[in-house]
Amino acid sequence: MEDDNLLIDLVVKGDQSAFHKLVLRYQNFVFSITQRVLSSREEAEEAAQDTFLKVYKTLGSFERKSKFSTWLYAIAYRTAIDTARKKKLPIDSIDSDDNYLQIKDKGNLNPDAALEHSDLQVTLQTVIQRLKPVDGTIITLFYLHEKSVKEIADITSLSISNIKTKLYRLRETLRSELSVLLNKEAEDLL
Amino acid sequence: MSKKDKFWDLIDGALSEEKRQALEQEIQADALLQKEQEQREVLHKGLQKMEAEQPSMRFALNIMEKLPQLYRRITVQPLISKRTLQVLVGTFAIFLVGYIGIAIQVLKNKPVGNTSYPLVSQLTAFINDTNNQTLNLILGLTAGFVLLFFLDRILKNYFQKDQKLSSSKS
Repeated sequence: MEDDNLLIDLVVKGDQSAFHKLVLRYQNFVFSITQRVLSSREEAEEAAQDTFLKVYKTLGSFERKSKFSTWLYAIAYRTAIDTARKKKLPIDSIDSDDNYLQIKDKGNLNPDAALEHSDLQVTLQTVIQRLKPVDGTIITLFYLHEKSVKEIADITSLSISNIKTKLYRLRETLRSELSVLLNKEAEDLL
Repeated sequence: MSKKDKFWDLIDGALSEEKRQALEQEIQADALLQKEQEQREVLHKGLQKMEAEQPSMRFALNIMEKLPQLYRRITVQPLISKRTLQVLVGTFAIFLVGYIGIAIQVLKNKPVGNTSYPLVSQLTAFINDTNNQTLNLILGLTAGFVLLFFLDRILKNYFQKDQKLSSSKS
């Protein structure tokens, strides 16, 4: 697989097929981020497209101080947040510290309901989609994109300590909310 | 950092060897902690297996189709309006006629010399006369401006034609 930097060099020289390769490589990840922030699939896809168009326009100014993916995800996250604000979609304050227990609708997340989904993956996907935008993004970046706490802080413009705390609390909340399902999975593994 | 955060640090591999061993012993000694830690490990593995969301099939194509729009050319416009050009050409024409008229009047009574083209000879003599340098300079500058403004028009037409060809190809 061609290195990101090589593809970036080609794009800057005007090679659109190189940009197509970058889009194909990152489209699912970028879409996952915009989907976390914007619950509507259509809005998320539009924001993801805007992200790539912004990237194409500004790729020449990418200084390569960070990984390309970190830079890309930061644009995706900001684009999604801006879209949500412009369209007055329900997003909670992304700066407030009292956002730890952020599952919006706990009523739909009782253990029995979770058990109805026999697959832990499906349940997790559903639960994460119900998290508040910034929290869903943090979990996605940490696990799906395997980003470090420092990189997540760069992407979301939150402090490292804030990200760490959120990660602890979010996972602990998920654990307690899904404890029945997790116990069942643990038993199955044994 | 709360005590429960350490359990996640253990899973993330963020504890020192000493702290890791101590925490593992603590967990082994407590059935409840053991059960909770199992839940954390299952959750952690589940989250690691999480798959990315997929956009529509045409997602990448839609983006590629939008790229040319980012570079849509600015409409080609001449720097000088048609009206300004008309005024300038008119002024130049009047000035040129006047110039020739003055030249003829000045040189009317001067000897023509031995030439088959008396008017041309008179005008050449007028132009070369150092007393008429200011008039020559004004005429030259005006002619230069007129040429530049015509060039502006020609370039506009050229680039407009080029743009039409490009858009019809795409």
